[in-house]
Order: sequence, then C-alpha cells, then structure tokens
Amino acid sequence: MSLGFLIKEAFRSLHRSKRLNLVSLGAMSMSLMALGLVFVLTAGIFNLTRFIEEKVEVVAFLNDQAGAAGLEKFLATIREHPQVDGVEHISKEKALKEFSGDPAIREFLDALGGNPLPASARIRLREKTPVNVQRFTTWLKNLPGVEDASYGGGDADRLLKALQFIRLAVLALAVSLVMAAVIIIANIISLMVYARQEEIRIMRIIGATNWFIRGPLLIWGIIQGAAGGLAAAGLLAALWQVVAFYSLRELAIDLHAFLPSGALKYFLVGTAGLILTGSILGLAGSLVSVGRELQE
Amino acid sequence: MLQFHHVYMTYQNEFKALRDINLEIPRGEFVMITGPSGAGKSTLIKLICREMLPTKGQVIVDDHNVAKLKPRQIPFFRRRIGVVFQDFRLLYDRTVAENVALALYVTGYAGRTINREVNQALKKVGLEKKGKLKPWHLSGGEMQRVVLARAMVHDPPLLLADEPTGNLDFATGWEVMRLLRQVTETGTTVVCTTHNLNFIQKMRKRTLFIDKGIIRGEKKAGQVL
Ligand SMILES: Nc1ncnc2c1ncn2[C@@H]1O[C@H](COP(=O)(O)OP(=O)(O)OP(=O)(O)O)[C@@H](O)[C@H]1O
Ligand SMILES: [Mg+2]
Repeated sequence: MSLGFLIKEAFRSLHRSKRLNLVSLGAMSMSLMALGLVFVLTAGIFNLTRFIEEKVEVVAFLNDQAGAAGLEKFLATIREHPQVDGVEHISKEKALKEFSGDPAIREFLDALGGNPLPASARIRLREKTPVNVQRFTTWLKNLPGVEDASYGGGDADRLLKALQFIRLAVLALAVSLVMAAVIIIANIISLMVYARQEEIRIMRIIGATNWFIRGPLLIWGIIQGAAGGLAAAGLLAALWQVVAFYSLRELAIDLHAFLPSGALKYFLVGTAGLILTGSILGLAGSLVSVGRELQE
Repeated sequence: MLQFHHVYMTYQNEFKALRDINLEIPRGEFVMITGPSGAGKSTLIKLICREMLPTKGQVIVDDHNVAKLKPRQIPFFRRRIGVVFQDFRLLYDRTVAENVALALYVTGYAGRTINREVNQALKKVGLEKKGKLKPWHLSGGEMQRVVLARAMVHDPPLLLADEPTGNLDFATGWEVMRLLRQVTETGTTVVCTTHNLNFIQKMRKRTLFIDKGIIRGEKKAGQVL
C-alpha cells in the first residue's frame, strides 16, 4: 500500500464532503486560534512574572554604630550567601544625594540638619520566588548591624500569587480547547464513515485491510488539523494587527515593543507551532473515531 | 479448492435459502450453476467469499474453513478470490479505471505497474476506451464487464462470477464466457452462475442445477443436456 495512494484517497474525501470539510475546518481553526491566544496570554503572564520578580530586591538598613570594618565584614557575609547574586552598598552620603534630587525633600532635610538617612545594602537574589525572598529577609534581619530588612513587600507577593492562579486557569482553558478540537474531528470522521458504509463494505469485500480503510481518514484528520492551524495563524496575525493599531492610536502603546526580535519571527514560529498542534490534534481525533467506528 | 459439507443457510427472517448442500470442486475446474430466480445461487456465491457465514455445515476454500478465519486473515483470504457481483458493487464516484485499480491497490501492488494491468484487464473485456468514464455513463452490460475486469485484474486463483452475462446480448455474453474459460487454462478455478441454457449447452462444463435451495441435479463436463 503506497503512501501516494493513501494521500490521494484522503484528498478524495476532502473533495467529496465539502460541507463537512468546511465545518471541521471552521471549528478547528477557531479552537486553534483560541489555543493560540491562550499561548500568547501564557507567554505574557510568564514575562510579566519574570519582570516583577526581576524587580524584587531585598534592602537591609544598617545601623550607624557599625563602622567601616564592621561594614566590610557585613558585606562579605552577605556575598558569601549562596542565594546572593549581587550587593550594592548605599552609604549615608549616597542616600542623601539620591534624595536631594527632589527639592521638597531637600528643604526638609536641610531643616533637620545633619544626615538622618541610614546606610543600606541592596541585595539581588538568584531565585526570586516569594518563599525564597521571605526566608532570606528573615535571615538578614538577624545579622548583627542590621537595623531592619524588607523586600518589595506584600504587593509584589500578592500579584505573583494572582498571576500563578491565572496561569492555572488559562491552562485549564487550553486543555478544554484541545479536547473540543479532538472531539469535533472525531465526530466529523464518524459522520464520514457513516456516509460511506457502502463504499467501505465494497472495499472490504475486495480484500482491503482495516488500515487500508483507516489510513486515508487519518491523513484527512492531519490535513484538516494542519489547515485549521494555518487559518488560525492567519486570523491571529490579523487580530494582532488590529489590536496593535488601536492600542497605538487610542492608548499610545506600541505593542511591537513587546516583540524584541521582530514580529515576523514570532509569526513564523507561531504558524509552525499552530500547524503542528493542529496536525497532532487532527490525528488524535481521527484515531479516536476510526478506533470506534472501524473495528475488524 | 472448494468444498461444501452439509451446508445450510437460513436468513434472519427464517427463510431457508440453502439446504444440505454438498459440493467438491477441484482446482482449475469450471463449474456452472443454474436454476430459477430465487433458487439460492447468489447465496451460494456469498458463502464462498465469506460475505456471509453458513448457518450450519462447513464451507472449505483453499483448505480453510471460512468460519474459522481470524478477522485479520479475512482481507488476505478475499484477495485470493475475484467476484463478479450480480449487483455490481462499483464505486460510482470513481472512474472505471479507478474501480478496477482499487482491486490492485487493496492487494498492495506498487504504483507503476497498476496502469498497465488495469488497461490490460479493460482491454480483455472490451472497455479499453471507457477507462476515464464514471460508471454512471456506462450501459448495464458495460458496467458488468467493469466488474469482471475488477474481479480478474489481480489474477486470483478463484473466480466467482454471479450472472456475469445477465445484461449482455448473446455475442458479448459469449465473449465473457470464453474469457472465463480462458482463465481456467492457467489453473484458475471458476464458479459461474447463469440463467442462460444456451451458454450451458455451448460451454459443455460441469453444471449444477439448484432449485429452492437444494441441488436437484448435476451435468458432467462434456455432457449435453
Ligand atoms: N438477506 C436476505 N434476507 C432474507 N432473504 C434473502 C436474503 N437474501 C436472499 N434472500 C432470499 O433467498 C433466496 C435466494 O436468493 P438468491 O439471491 O441466492 O437467489 P438467486 O438464485 O441468486 O436468484 P437470481 O437468479 O434471481 O439472482 C431468495 O428467495 C431471496 O429472497
Ligand atoms: Mg442471484
């Protein structure tokens, strides 16, 4: 049995049941488009999470009595901690200079006389998960010479937790979309099998094996999935253009800034991904159907 | 090649189509079956190609009891049988050539030789010019000959022809008969049903007479009626 023959037979089915093809193509491309959106959302959430986590740093406020030697020892202890990625020491003078930029604060500080600001150390951690940051901050607070220590605090914490929750919700959505696509393909193939009982009977009576009858249907499923993926990619690209246009005009946000390596690359990778995903879902759907309808 | 041992066939509506059929057909023989309409000729043919299983008794083809074939063996069993169905069983959305080629594709033939084999088979039945037509555009007799071409194209060792001349004039029908006789010369076994006593007379082959599901008589090869 040659592959060429199977593909020809699959295209014969494509040609024959035009309306079923349209229905399955429509359903497939919608599911895949939604799946593509889910993917974009997931990627966005992932990037946002990274972005927020990147900003997280722990600040230790030092008391004034430590002195130069104490400070060096303190900084060395911190640098040796396995979780620490980098430390920046902000002296009292530097803190004063940073705050003096604002004329109002400057006036206020001048009125106080002297320098009331504490020296501090800004510490970046290697792993910025909430648990990790909290544990490190507690450890830091108990070091000698540390007045107090804090990190971005509850806000960042809550946001990260919310994002994690959204990520789960989006994943659940993706799973149901995948199932919907598989179910649609499976049912359409079942319809095609019913419509072709007689033909299948004839093929069997002249000696066709089960796989000979199944093969074209499996290829049909793959073709449908791939075409749906291609259509979905086109629709998503169009949607992107529209959204980007309005967000630039109405909100003055240039969405292209979020695609650092260029829109074309994202489009090509996305299209390939959608076609591949579609083919796999199409194959899965047709396998479900032929397993059910075409037993020996 | 072919044996029936006390074969009974009762349809679901309790109709007894065949009763206590006993048969032995050696390899390479040409056997004709005749009898009135409704006698059970097509039923007998369908039992041989395992389209149905007998209610009782054994049908042995090529040393296989057809009732004992495993599902995965059935396609390979059927490829060794060519059948001219009385009701044609053509695929009407495929061309004549595609219909004939299907018997080869199903058997796992390589793509390149297919066209040649198909053309040869169509030529044998006198339809070499009709390959590109859909079966709808053929006359009844032409359709029947397409079915014959499909049944013979893969040179099966057993050829079952159910009323292969039913829609043909005497001259064309006789051509078909000669064709069937020809294939027995290469060792193919042929079982052919017909209503036409003229053919039975002219062929001088072994002939079984069935009526109401029972074999009523037999004419040996060479005998005249
Ligand atoms: N599926 C079926 N269910 C019930 N009865 C059937 C079925 N198929 C055939 N029969 C009956 O069995 C009998 C034999 O049918 P069969 O087709 O074998 O006759 P035949 O000898 O081939 O007749 P003809 O010469 O008209 O083709 C007929 O009376 C028919 O009505
Ligand atoms: Mg009949």
